[in-house]
Amino acid sequence: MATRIADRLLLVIGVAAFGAATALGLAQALLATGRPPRLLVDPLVEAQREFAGRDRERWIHEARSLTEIQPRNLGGFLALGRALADAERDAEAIRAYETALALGSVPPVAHAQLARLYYREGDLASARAQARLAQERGVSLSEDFLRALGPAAGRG
Amino acid sequence: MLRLGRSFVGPVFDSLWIGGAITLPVSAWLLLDGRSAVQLLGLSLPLLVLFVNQAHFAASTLRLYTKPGAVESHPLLAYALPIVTFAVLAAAVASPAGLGRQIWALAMTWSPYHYAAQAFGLASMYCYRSGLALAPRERLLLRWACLMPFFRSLLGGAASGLGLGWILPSAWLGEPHVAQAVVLGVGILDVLVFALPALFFAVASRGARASGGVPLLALLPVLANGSWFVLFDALNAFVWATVFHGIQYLAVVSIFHAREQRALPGNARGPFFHVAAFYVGCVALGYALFQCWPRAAVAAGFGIVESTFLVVAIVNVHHFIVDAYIWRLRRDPNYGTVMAANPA
Repeated sequence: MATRIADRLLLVIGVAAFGAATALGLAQALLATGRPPRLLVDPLVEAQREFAGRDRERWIHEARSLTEIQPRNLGGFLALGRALADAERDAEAIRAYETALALGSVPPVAHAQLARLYYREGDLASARAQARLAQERGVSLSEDFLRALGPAAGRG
Repeated sequence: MLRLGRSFVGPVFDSLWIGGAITLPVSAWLLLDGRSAVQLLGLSLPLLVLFVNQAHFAASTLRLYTKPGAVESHPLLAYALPIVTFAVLAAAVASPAGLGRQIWALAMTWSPYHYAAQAFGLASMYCYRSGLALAPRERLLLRWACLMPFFRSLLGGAASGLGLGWILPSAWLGEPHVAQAVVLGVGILDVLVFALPALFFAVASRGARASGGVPLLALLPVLANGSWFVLFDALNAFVWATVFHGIQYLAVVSIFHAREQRALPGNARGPFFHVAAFYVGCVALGYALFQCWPRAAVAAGFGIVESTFLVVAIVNVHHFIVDAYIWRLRRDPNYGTVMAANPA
């Protein structure tokens, strides 16, 4: 008898939790966008669309969450690096990009972004090395930036 | 002499969708095409994910509560597990770097084991259904054959922090001799993924000449599961394996559900009604879990990224646990469904 009551009680709690979570999710989407939650596959893309350029700290939080859950997700560290760079938190952005580099091959544009960050931090040697990697992989850098890096930044 | 075995629906349907033979021509086409799963699927990816992948996760929960006698047989699974799952989800979302990271790695590491278990279950079902009683040694060989893709992903996932990479320190795995050993191990397992099923087929067929040997329908799910992990790189394997596994799962769960519901006293509906109603329920539940729940966490002040990934992880784990119980064959009504003749 006691087992049956406990089962019923657990069932009620479970159904209530399920219903409340579903209703809350629907309500959140309806209030935020005026429609039910749209089909979401990559939440990082969704977060970027929602926060990048508008709410920098929130965008950093979202990107950082991904790197916390998946500490070997190269794309997550690139997104975090970009988000931190946009917020001018250059030292942290460099660390994020360096982690991405340590995890594997990054897109050519990431070398260019890292070059700019090193330059802003005053690390010219590293900036030149990254600029060279970016150029070798087909990224064109502005003449102003290349001049600022000095002659050693040109193509070997 | 080769025999296909006794199908549930028909030889073509069972071979393609439950056996997973559809994988073979589609894989060949995908490999020739060369585009990634994301490039190929484009805007249809979210729909495919909802209608196949997320619906299949929901299907196990729905089956638990609709399979006659299942709730009574597994009260902890039916009543306590959802609440435990919900509590763990809340704790994980609140601590993405701590519990969240572990839950994600657990789900992703467990996933290939779950696929292997499904391949073993389907192969066993077709053996039983085709009148082949496997000897303990053959059963063990079949289990090991099914587990090879799991072992492969344990090693292959190390670089992504999953499988061995979740358990062992990355600095140690990065040592050149260890990395070389991992690559060698993956190479050996690539061969064993196909060699062990072939060995099982040969051994079990020799021992069962009188009944016509091992049915091909038992071999197909094992080979299909192996091919997902061997033929594609990690990211594409992740997408295609979940899609093909989901299709396979939905096909077999629909058959079981329809048969069980039709066998209930007072049933007046045909199989299509039961299949359609069950599938609509799966899609609706999948939408609630995977699309609404993350938004609920956002409403509670958490980020969309941690909410979504951790809902995915926790629903995966719940699905794996539930499946381990609701598909048992021995001493379970499932056995009757497996052995039943095709309804007219």
